[in-house]
Amino acid sequence: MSPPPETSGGVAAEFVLPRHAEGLAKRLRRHLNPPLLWGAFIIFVLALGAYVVPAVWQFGAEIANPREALLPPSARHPFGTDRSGFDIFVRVFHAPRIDLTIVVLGVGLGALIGIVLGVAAGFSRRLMGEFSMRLADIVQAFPLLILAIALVSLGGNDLTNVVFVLAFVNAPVFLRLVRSRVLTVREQRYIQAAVALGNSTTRLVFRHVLPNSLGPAVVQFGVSMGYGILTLAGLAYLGVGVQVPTPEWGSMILGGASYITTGQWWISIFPGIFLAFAVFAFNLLSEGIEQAREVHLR
Amino acid sequence: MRARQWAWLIVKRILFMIPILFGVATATFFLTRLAGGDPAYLVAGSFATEEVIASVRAQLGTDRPLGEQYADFLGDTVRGDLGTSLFTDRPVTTDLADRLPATLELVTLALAFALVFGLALGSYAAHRRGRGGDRAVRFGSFSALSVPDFWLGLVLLFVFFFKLDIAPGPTGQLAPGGPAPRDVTGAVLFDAMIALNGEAFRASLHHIWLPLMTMVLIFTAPIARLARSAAIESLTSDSILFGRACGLSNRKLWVYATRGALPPVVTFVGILFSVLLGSAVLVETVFSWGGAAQYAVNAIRQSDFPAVQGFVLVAGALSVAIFFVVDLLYRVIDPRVRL
Repeated sequence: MSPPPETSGGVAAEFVLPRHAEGLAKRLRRHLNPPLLWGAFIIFVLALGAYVVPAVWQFGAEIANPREALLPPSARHPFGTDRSGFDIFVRVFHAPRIDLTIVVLGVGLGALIGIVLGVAAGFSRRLMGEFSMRLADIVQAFPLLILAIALVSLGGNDLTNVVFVLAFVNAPVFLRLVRSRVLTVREQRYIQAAVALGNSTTRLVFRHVLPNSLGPAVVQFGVSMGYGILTLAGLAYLGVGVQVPTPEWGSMILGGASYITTGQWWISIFPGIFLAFAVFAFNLLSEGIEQAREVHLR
Repeated sequence: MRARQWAWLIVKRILFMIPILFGVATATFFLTRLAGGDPAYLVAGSFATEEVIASVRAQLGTDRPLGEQYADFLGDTVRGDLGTSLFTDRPVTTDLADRLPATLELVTLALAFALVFGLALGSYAAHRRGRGGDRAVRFGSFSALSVPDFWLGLVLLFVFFFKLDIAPGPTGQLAPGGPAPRDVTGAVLFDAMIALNGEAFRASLHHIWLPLMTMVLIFTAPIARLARSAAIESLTSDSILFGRACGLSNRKLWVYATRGALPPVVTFVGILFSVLLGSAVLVETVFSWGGAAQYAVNAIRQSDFPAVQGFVLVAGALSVAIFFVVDLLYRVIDPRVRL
């Protein structure tokens, strides 16, 4: 004779755990989907390759060998060499160290600023909210790439500046997304309940409003990362930001641009393929997160 | 809607634009100052002596108080004076007016083609939802969003110029020494058209198709994605369901669904125009197009502060103007909207 599950007679196995307490592995599995996995996998491989390939490859990423300049792809140089005799293979793999780091820092900082301002603007609907929204309007009136080029080149051509400029152009995007979510969330019943239960404003913001307002911003983060990589490479292609001998995809494409019309295609083509692949991975990741969120909402 | 109402609407929208343009000018001024600190250092170069820097500062007017500079900047801008380029030694307004039409020609044509292809692909995909054609459009447009435009331009140059030799090299809007129309606007294709100069028209078509294809290939993708989801929404709407119940043909329903997908796409075009303007900076550089965007890139390389500032301001103002046009277009397409 078995005891009914309600009685706590040492039959822990009979208890039905609440949904959020089910195993982490199980919860993860429910949210995983092919785009998410593929996106994360490609980014992981690119990041890993950035440290493994230069460590084991016979040529250094920043060691020029003028005697082997402009060689087409071969077993010795799988992706060929450029004008200064740099081995393109190792440089293409080395590039994410710069590309991913700068974009993660820049977009991350922008997201942070945008989220903080977005919550603030959503909460104090009056002056602060209006003001930051109009500011975002005006910043977003400028073509993003043009603003980025102008700001980086005027502010001095260094990488710290690129990070700040990426943050600056991305913050309004996150501000807008988070603010509109906060405006909806703060009217929800459970927020009223939390207020009625006597939560402090700080706790209300951090424990109840913020976690429920971040969803769209997380999806946006992947898209912004992808676009950030394109922006960084575009800047480098114009000679702004990352400078030529640094192994970075955009500046490598620039290095081969004048050779494309004389047939030395490999200098620009390979970095471009990797660049597109990295952007593709972040777009996939973002798509995957969106799908995972739909599972969650169901 | 009657003509008077339209006139009133346009006036209202223009009045609404003034504070935004004011904001754009203010932002241009302060952002370029804040980012650069003192542009005199940039202009004079890193080896300049203090005297040289002081004279450059006097020339640029940056030795005066910021408030005074700002007031002057606003006053000059309203009068259409964006300063004098340090490199070409001509008014920035004249420089930009000479080159902007070439950029606008490229951007507008790219947008028009992308819109046509995007709408067609998007509504086709919506129609074949879940089947092979839909998947191909979805995957293709998703991938195209990841391709860097300037790199695609180089790839196309390699294939169509170097390998197949059916496109010209990156010599800009025309071959040097080739047939050219009389310079009216600076947009060569347009100039050749109004001059009825067939030879020049063919030459400029020959030069524009590669940069145009670069931009169209990339910017068809976001339009197709948006058009697809908008068309799906409109295909499942009550009005289409009613049409189906009334026995309208599939072709007719498809036309209605595409029509219903227009408003969100048109709104998006406003945003896309500004992205295309940014993209033009890169594509023009690849093809040595010689438009305003390439002028700005050269200005950046030569630390030509007034020219950079002028271009940023004009690009911002153009985007605002396009939003204005899109707003009105939206009203035409969807008369239910009250502006």
